[in-house]
Amino acid sequence: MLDDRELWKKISEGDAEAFDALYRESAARLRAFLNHLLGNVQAAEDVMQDTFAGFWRHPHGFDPERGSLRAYLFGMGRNRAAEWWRKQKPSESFSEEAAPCRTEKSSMVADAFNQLTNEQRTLLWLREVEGQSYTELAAILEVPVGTVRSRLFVARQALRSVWHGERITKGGSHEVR
Amino acid sequence: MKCDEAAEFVSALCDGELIPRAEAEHIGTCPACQLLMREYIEMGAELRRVASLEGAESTTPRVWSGPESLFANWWKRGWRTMRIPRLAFVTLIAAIAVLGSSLALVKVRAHSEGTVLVLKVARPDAEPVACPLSTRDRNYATCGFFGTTNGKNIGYKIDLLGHDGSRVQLGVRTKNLGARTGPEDLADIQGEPQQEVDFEPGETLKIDMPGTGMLTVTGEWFDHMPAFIGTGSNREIDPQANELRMVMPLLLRDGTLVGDLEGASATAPDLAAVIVYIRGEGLFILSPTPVKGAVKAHVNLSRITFNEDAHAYTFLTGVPVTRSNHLWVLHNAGFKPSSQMDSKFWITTFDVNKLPSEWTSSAR
Repeated sequence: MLDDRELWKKISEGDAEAFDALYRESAARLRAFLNHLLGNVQAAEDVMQDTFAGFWRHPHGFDPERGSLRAYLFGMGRNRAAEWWRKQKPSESFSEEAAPCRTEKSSMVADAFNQLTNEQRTLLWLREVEGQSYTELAAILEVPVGTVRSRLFVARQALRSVWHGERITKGGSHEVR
Repeated sequence: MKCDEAAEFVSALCDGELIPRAEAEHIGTCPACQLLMREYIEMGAELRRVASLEGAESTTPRVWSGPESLFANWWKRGWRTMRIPRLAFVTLIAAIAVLGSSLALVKVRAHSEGTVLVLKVARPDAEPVACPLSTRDRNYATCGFFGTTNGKNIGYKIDLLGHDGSRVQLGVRTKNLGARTGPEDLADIQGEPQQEVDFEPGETLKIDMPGTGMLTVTGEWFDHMPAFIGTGSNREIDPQANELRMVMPLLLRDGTLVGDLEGASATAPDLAAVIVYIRGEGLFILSPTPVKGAVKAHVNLSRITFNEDAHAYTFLTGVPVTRSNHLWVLHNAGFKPSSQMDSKFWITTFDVNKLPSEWTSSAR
């Protein structure tokens, strides 16, 4: 298995096989992430494809010193998702917009998650699902590491708050602290 | 310590981050904080479960062929109509750039609403070269030059692929010619892989071109095509020491115009020579140092005069040629270029000590 730097080098040299390996390994994960940002399966597919195509066209934006290749791809995807939102509703801010996500694999936590702001969903998804480090998150979101910590906390609190509300609505028997 | 004060560190602890000792001790002994942590962990696990289900869905297979420009057709149209003479370049230090029609130095305030982007492209250990690109005039959609980096002769070509506000998309191609000094054409670089980059003036863009080294690009917007002196970033009217500049020269023979190198110029540093070929007139080697068989020419700012074979020659250029008041001209009237080099005219620079014999052998 190639490490990020070797894989990136091959991709930079136009190695389609290396790029396809990255695509097969990461595309579904990126699409799942985008689906929760965009709340639209087709848009998530389109933005995911656009993200990979953009990276294939000019891979030299990636800096191995700043984080993993996957973190970079997810950062690209997040930016393109923001662009998609701006085109849909130019007057509304990406970070303040909460997009309803219809997923068949819904759960109470997932439903609560979909009520968070885009930035909160981005942070929680990249941290909890993708396992991005604070340093990588700071690079993706272009904020200091300390800000990542505080914003993750706020996002978790928001999710917990909505989740507890969901428990009351759907279950009615859960204890609420 | 209150739970509220420790709550942020409960979150950090879930992520495996190191937290301050006092908060760690509180969390370790506080049932409420431990419950909060369990909830955070449970939420994370649930998100991962959902993600696993969604991530397991298949993706559409794609075929990834060589990176291609979205603007390829647009570019090809631009290439056919571009004003850069498709010169044959024989280079060690040659540099050719598209030049504005005005020769006066005009300084304007750069702004983001301009239509002309002037890039400064710096190679390792070399002066930046000015590279003007227009968002409106396809004749100026491309710029290129040849230069020596680490002993290798390298061709550079930059295309303006598109722009969105003040951001532009550039296509960059380079070609490593090694130690080869044979004729080269910008069109030859077209076959090289193109690297597409986004750039916004104000940024410093580093482009690592495999095999040819790092390019450092800066740029400014202008509201018109600015005038350039020579091909470097040097905008002084005064030539640099040991520099020989020929900016869009005209050649007069006995008072009659016999050559017009519109749009082409060369700047030779470090006592290198400038080579000018004009179909029908032959090859002219202009050297700041003596060359066997050459005649001495007088230099007066932007005018070079010399007599040869009962004819009076004058080169008129856009800006002062050299700090010296004389140089040497070797005229090879019988020079026959190869078919590849047989353009109407071309100009280049060359190490005067390594001039190819075919340039000098049939000279008088």
